[in-house]
Parts: sequence; C-alpha cells; structure tokens
Amino acid sequence: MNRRDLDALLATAPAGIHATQIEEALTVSGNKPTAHEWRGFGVRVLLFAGVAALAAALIFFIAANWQSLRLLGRFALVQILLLIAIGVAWWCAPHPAEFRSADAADAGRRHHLFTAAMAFAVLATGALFALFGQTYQTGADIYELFFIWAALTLPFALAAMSGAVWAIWVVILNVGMALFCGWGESGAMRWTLRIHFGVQAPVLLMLPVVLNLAGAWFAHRTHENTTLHAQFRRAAPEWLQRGLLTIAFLYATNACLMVMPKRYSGDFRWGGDVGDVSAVIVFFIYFIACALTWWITHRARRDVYPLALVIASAIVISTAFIVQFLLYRMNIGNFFLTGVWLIGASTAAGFFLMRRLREWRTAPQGDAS
Amino acid sequence: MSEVNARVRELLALPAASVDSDDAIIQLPWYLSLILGVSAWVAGLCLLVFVAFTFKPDTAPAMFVCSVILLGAAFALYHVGRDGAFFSQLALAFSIAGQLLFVVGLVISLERHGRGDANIGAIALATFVLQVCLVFLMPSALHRTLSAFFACCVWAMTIRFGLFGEPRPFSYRPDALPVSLDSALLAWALTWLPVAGLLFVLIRREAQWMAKSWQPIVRPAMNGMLIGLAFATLVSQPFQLFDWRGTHAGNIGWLALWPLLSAFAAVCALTVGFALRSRAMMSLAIFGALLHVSHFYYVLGNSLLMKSLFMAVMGVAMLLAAYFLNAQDRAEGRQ
Repeated sequence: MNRRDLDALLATAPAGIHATQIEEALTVSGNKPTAHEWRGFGVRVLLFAGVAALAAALIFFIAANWQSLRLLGRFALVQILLLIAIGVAWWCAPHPAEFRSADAADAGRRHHLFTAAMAFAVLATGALFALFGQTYQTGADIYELFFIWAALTLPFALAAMSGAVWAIWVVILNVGMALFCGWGESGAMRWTLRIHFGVQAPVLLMLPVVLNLAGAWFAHRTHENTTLHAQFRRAAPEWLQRGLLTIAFLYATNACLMVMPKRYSGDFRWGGDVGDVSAVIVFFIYFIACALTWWITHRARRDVYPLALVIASAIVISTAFIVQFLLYRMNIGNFFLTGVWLIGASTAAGFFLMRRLREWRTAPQGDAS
Repeated sequence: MSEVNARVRELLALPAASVDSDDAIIQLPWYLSLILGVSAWVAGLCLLVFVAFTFKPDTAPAMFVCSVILLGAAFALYHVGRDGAFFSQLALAFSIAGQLLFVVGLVISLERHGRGDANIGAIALATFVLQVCLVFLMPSALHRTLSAFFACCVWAMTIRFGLFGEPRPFSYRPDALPVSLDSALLAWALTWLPVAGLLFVLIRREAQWMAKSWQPIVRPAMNGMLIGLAFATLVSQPFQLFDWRGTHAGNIGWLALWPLLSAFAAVCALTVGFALRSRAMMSLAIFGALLHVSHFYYVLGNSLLMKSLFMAVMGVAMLLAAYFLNAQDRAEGRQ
C-alpha cells in the first residue's frame, strides 16, 4: 500500500482521525523507512556518489593536465586506477551461486561494493580511451571509440550482473550508435553507406531501434521465464527494460520526424529531403516495432509503460504531420486546431491507458512461458 | 484483502473492505502525467498564439485582462470537469496560456515605465507570487506540481538576478566582477535552503497535515519542490544553458561552485524521494545530480585541476563515510 492508496483510504475515513493513528498507519503500511533501511540507503548513496565523484575527478584531472603530463604518466595513472577497480571487484566478487539463489533478496554490502567497482571500471575504461584518442591521432571517428569502449567493457557488464552497470553500458553503446547515425560529424562508414548503398541517416537510425528493442525483449523474458529470472533478475530489472524501450522509441520517433512529408512549391513530397524509399523503410520498421511492443505488452498484461511509449511516439509524429500539412495554408485557426488535436489525443491516451492499468491490476497476468 | 490493508483499515477505524479493495485504488502513473503535462504545455503555447492573434492584446492592461480571463476559465473548467481528463487538460492549457500572458504583460509594463531592459528579478518575483497562489487555488494535482516546480525556478531566478545583476542576452557581461565565495554560498543558501527546509518539515509533520486532509495541496507541491531541488542550478541560470561550453562567459568567480552545490541538493532530493518511497522522484534526482556534475565541468571560475581536487576529496570522503556507516550497521546488526 503506497501513499496514494493511503490518501484514498483516508478520504473515506470518518472525521476526527488523529495524527498518531496516521503515523502508525504510515509505519504499518511500510511507507516510513526504518532506521536499518535509512542506514542501508545512506551506505548505497555514499558508495555510488563516491564512485561517481572519483570517476569525475579522474576525468577532470586528465582534462586539466594532459598537456603537462608525460605520455607514460598519463596512461599509467588511468591504468592503475582501472586495475584497482578490477582488483576491488575481484576481492568482493560474490559466489556465482548467490546470483542464482532465489532467496538472495538482499545482495549485501559486498555486492554493492562489487557493483560500484565494476561501474567504476567501465567509466575508467572510457577515460583511458579518451586519453588514447587525444594522444594518438589515429583518425578514428568518435563513434568508433565508443563502440570499442562498449566492446571492451562488455565482460565487465556480464560479470557484474547488475542493472546499474548494464545501464551505463547501454548508454555508451547508444551514444556510439547516435554518433554513427549522424549526431555530430559524418563518419567514413556512414558516408560509404550513403554513397554506395543509398542508406540515408533516418534508415540508419532504425538500427539502434532494433538493437534496443532486442535488449528490452530479453529483459522482458527474464520476468517471464523462471530459469532466466533466477539467473538474470539483478541484471535486467524492470526499470532497465523501460529505459531500453524509451531509447528505442526516441530513435524511432526521431527517424520518423526526419522522413516527415514536406511541401515543396505546393507539392506534398513524402520522405522530405531523403526520398520516398527511405520513408517507406523507416515507417515500415516503426510500425513493426509498435505492433510487436503492443502485442508483447498485451500478452504479458503486466506493465502499461510500453503502451504509453507507443502512444506518446504516435502523438508526436501525428502532431508534426499536422503542423507540416497545415503550414502550407498559414492561418491562425491552425494553431487552435493543433492545440485541440494535442489535448484530444493525450486525453484519449489517458483514458485508454488508465483503463488498461485497471484491467491488468485486477485480472490474472499473461502466460509465463 | 492483505494483512497490511486490514491493519491500516483497523487503525483508521474503517470497515473491512471487499476482496478486491486492494486493487480498486489505482492512481495516474508518473509517465502518463508526463505525457499529459507535455501535451498541455505545447497545446497551451498554440492557444496562446491563437488568443494573441485573435484578440491582439498589445498593451499591458489588455494582457493582464486576458490573463485573468484565461486563469478564471481554467479554474472553472477544473471544477466543472472534476474527474474528466479532457476538461483538466484544457484547463491546464488555458492556465499556461494565461500565465505566459501575465509574464509578457509584466515585461511590457516594466519597459513602458522606463525601466530600460526587462527587470528579470522583479518579473521573477511577481511570477513567484503568482505560482504560489496557483498552488493553493487550482484544484489539480498536476497543475499544483507544475506550479510548485515553476515557483522554485522563478524564486531561484529572483535571488540569482536580484543579487548578481542580469546578463546580456545569452551571455554574461564581460565587465562583470567575479562573484566572491561568500556571496555565492549565501545566494545559493537563500535560494535552496528554504525549499529543502520546507520539504524536511513537511516530511517530519506528514501525519499532522494528513490528519487535516491537506494531501491534495501538499503532496503535489512536495513533488514540484522535489523536482525543483533536483534541477536547481540548471533552472536558476537559464541563460547559461545556452553557454554550456563557456565560450562567451567571463570569470564568474565562485558561482562556478553552484553546480556542485546543486548536485548536493539533488542528493537531498534523492533522500526526500527515498523517505516518500518514490522511485520516480529518486530517478529524477539521480539524473539531476549527474547533470549538475557535467555542468560543473564546463562552468568557468575555477580551474579544472581545482575541480578535480574537489571531486576527489569528496569521493574519498563519501567512500570513507560509507565504510564507517556500513561497519556501524554491521555492529548493530550483530548486537
């Protein structure tokens, strides 16, 4: 019972409820953290904030001193820190059976230290690559460095089996993919794909869509399959699944906006500046992604968030289409129409999602194969 | 019905509920609130353009009149469509349009009265008063959260620009003197300690205001203040958001410390989120803290070496504190 439920109950309570009764109700319902929980929270916050501060200090220090440090000193400093992180992780690495134990509800302090050390190792690897990229002008594109960073830290993420470390790794991979697909300067690979194979940037953006959706699907499977759940439940928490889906739909929505139809001298041209074929491919993959997400979510009947993502993406794309369509005949009524469309669409979305939420909270969940 | 539910009902002198009562109480999820809020924002801007071109309020009094009409219409719509999502969304759009007209009317009014450039501090203060009033007046949780958040933003701008003057558009005045450490700390404390203090008091006295049925006002207001606390510096220095790389700014002195102080404020927001058992608020606070650390990297006023030293000392201190706290927890656990 959370605070919202408690407020709803209090609204039906008779007048004259005393504060001491409410205080006890808050405690009984678990809404007040205990002293032990506060200490555990304090330890986790201090641990992860300390790791983040040290990682930031390392990055700041490298940036400040790279001119004056000798080549050997620079690399030695970062590599020593990386080795320390790996050493700490090795020292407090939990027994493999602990990861698979269904009764291990609390990972314990050593697990937190292990996870923090692995997270620091991932970040220190990035700092090492930044140093490498600045020192040796190899001509590599920035996205290549991010991909190599992700490839080399994949073993850390696999060893950590932690949602936090996987989240860091996912961010690294997605930054690399965003750079590859056109955020920032063009790369040789992207130029090659465009000139020789006609692959435009919006079509390239569907690659991270597919990869992130695949990751989200695997995270979803850990909740459905008891064997996978036992092994990967710490590595694939629900919030990570939601994060992967969010990133996928951010890419997909951006790609669809890039191929939005535009008006040229009165003609309505699909695909805008990138052509009809790219527009067809992008929208085809987008609709497949939406349909699959919709179907899997309805099959599981557990979380409404994926449906909210699909609907939010559809609202953004449809609003952009309306704005493009109305811009040709510019009059003041267009602003009113756009405002009304937004209100109507979001309200209908709210009705639909709340209805699904009520149905799924009260009904049995889908099959867990 | 769960044991917890039964025990809570017993404490509140409520009759035993049916089997399904545990699942009957379902509130709007945070992501749906986000979708509706963003949609209302954009719709509000569209309606503002429509009102501006239809009625053409080109004087400050005309804008104030339109603002009052729109805010009144929003208030009426909230009461008419109490449980309807459509009316509440339309009301939010009207309210946002009315608030924007109010601010523009203030700008024109101050310019016409010979204040030269828009006095950001005065406008921010007037907008702060408006937002506080709206927290109490508007009967919508989402509106109250947004109003509380905007109140934090404009309060920060009031202190920031009232004390240190106003920048030229999108950059600092290159002839401005760097801010001293005392002034930077005092300004930050004046801005955010009241917010943090109010949140602390509200959490400590939660049972008291719940007994007075103040939840419809206080809970959304707490959410708004928590979000404001998490994104403190970024919303108090809006023009610097466009100056992320520091290419135009002069030496701003110890104001460069604000991002780090705001990262600490974000950790306080994380603590409040934990006290409220709200994962959404905790996630926002963590994101805010990371943004502030990134901002700290770019802000001029201290060398990167000094910043690196700050972060290293803080990191070591926090890890030591974690170690001792953990040891104390284990010792108490053995007892």
